[in-house]
Amino acid sequence: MEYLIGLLPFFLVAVSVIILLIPILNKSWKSQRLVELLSLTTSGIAVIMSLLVLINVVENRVVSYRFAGFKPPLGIVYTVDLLSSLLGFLSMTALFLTVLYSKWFIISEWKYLYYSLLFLLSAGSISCFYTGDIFNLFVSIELLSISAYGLVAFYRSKPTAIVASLRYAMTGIVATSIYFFAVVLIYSAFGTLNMADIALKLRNPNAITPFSQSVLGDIVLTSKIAFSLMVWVFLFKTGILPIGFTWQPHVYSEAPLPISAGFTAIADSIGIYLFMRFFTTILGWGVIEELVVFRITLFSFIQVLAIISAFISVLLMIVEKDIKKLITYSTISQFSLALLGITLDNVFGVVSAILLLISNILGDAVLFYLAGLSIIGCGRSINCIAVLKNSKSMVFSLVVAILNLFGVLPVTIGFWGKALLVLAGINKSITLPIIVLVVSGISAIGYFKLLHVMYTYKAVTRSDQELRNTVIPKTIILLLSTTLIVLGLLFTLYEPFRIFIINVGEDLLGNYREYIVKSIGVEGLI
Amino acid sequence: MSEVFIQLAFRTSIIAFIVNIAIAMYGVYTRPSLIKKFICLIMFTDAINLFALFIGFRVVNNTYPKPPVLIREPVSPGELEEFKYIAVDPLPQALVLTAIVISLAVFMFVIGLILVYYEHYGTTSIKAMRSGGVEEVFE
Repeated sequence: MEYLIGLLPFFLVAVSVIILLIPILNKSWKSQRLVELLSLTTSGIAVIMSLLVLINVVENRVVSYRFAGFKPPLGIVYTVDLLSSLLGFLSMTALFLTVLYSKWFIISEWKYLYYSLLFLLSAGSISCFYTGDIFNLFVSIELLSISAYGLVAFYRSKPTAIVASLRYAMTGIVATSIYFFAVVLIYSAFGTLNMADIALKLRNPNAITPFSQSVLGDIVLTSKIAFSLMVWVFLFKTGILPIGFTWQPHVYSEAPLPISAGFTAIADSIGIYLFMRFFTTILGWGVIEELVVFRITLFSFIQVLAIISAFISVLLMIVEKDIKKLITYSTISQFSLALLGITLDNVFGVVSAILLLISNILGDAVLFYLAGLSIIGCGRSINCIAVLKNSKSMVFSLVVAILNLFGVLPVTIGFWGKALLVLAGINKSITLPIIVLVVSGISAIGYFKLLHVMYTYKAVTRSDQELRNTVIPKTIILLLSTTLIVLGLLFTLYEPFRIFIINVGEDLLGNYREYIVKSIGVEGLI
Repeated sequence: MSEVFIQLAFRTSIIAFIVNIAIAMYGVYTRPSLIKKFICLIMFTDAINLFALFIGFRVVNNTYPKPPVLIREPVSPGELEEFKYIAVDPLPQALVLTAIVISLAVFMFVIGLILVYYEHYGTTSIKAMRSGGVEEVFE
C-alpha cells in the first residue's frame, strides 16, 4: 500500500497532461465531454487512493515511501502521518467536489486548460502534505503556486482577474524565494534536507546519520533565522496578516468560483499544515535547550499576529458588500484562530486547529457553492443571496454553514473547534478565551447579515441557462452541510471518532520519535 | 596575500547580496511600473540563488576550492580526505539549477500576465489599475 503515497502525485500530474492532449488529438465538441468525464473519474480515483493511504496510516501511525528505493536522507522520502493523510484526503475530496461543481458552473471553450491546472494544483497540494523533504516541499509549493496563478487568471478578459493573479504571483515569488533561502540556510548548518533528519539533529545534535553524518555548522543561530523566515512564508500561504491580506481577498473574489471554494482545502490549508509540521514535528517538543526560548518567543509573536489578523478580518466581514470577499474574510478569521490554537502548544490547541481547519474547509465550500447559485441568479452583492430563500434546502444549508463557522451549537464540527480553543486558552491565560469569544461575536454580525439580507431583500432572479438544472450544485451543498452536522454529532456522541481526532493532535506533538525512526529507517539515534 | 583576497571577495559578495536584496524589495513594493517590479523580482531570486551557490564553497587551510570531480583513479585515502574538505559541495548547485528552472517557468507566466495587463490598460503602470481606467502614465 505504501506505493500509493508515491503514486498519487504522479497520477494527478499524468491526468493533467492527458487532459491537455485530448483537445489536440480530437477537436470536436466530444472532447469537452471527454475532458469532463476523465476529470470526474480520475478525481474520484484520487479520493479513493487518498482514503486508502489514510486507512493504512490509521493502522500503522506513520508510513513512508522512498523514491527509487534510495535510503533517506540520501533520497527523497514521502512520510505520511495521521495529520498529513487526513488533510490529503480532504484535499482530494475538495478536488472531486470542485470538478463536479465546475461541470455545472464553468462554461468555456478553454475548459481543458482549467481542469489541467486544477489537477496540477492538486498534485502540488498532495505533495506538500506527503513530502518529508524540505527542498521537495519547495518544488511542490512552486507547482501549487504556478497552477494557482493560472487558475486565478482564467477569466483573462477581466482586467481585475489579471491584476489579482499579478498580485498573487509577485508576492508568491517573493515568498517562495524566501523559503528557498531558508532551505539553503538549513542545509548549510544541518547538512541535510530531510525533515526527520533535521528534527533528529534539533533534538540530538551529536547524532550521526547515514550519508548526512553530523551537523556542519551553528544549528542554533541558523535555526533561528531560517524558521523565522519560514513563518512569513507559511503566513503568506494561509493569507494571514500582514502579507496574506495583499493577495487573498483579491484572489478569492476574482478566481472562478469553484476554485475559490476548493482553494481553502487544496491550497491555503497548506500554510497551516506546514506551520504545524515545522513547529511540532521538526522544531517541536524535545528540541535542544538553546532553541526552547526562541520557540516560545516566536509563538508569542505569532499569537499577537493571529489575534490582530482575526480582529481585522472579522471587522472587514461586517462592512463587506461582495459575497465572495465576505467569505474570504471569514476564511482568514478561521485560519487566524487555527494559528492561535497551534501557538498555544498543547494538545487541545492543536486539536482545535485541526477541527477549525476541517470545519472551515467544509463550511467555506458550502458558502461558496451557495454564492455560486446567487451570483448566477442575481449578482455578486450580498443582497443577491435573497434569491435562495425560495429553496428550503438551500436555506437549511446556509444556516448550518453559518452556525458551523460561528460555532455556537454542538451539532456542528465548528463548535468543537472553538470550544477546544477556549479550553486550550484557559490553560495559558484568561485573556485568550475572551479574545476568541469576542472575535466569534463580531464575526456573527457578518454571518447573520447574510440571513438578515436573505429574508428582507427582494432580489430578482435573472433567467440563465445554468439555472434550469441545479441538481448538481444543490446535491453537493446538501451533502456538505449534512457532513458538517454528522461530523459534529460524531465528535459529540461517538467516542472512537473523538479519540481519533485527539490522537491526530497528540501524535503531532508527542510522537516525533516514530516519525523520525520510520522516515530515516535507523533506530537508536533518539 | 591570497587569504586577504579571499576574505575581501567573500565580504564583498555578502554585502552585494544584502544590497541586491534591499534594492529588489524596494523595487517590488514601491515602483509603479510592472516591468520594473519584474526586473526586481529577477534580481531578488538571482541574489538568493547566488547566495545558495556560496554555501557549497569552503576555504580550508588557505587553499582554493576544487570542482567536485575525481579525475584520477585510484585515489589514496589521504587524497580522498583532502578532496572531502576542499571540493565544492555539488548539492547546492543542483538545488539552484532546479530553482532556476522553476523560476523561468514562473517568470514566463508573469511576463505573459503583464502583457495581458498592457492589452487591457494600455500601460504597464499599476496607477492605471488604481484609477480604474486607462491613462497615460510616464515612469
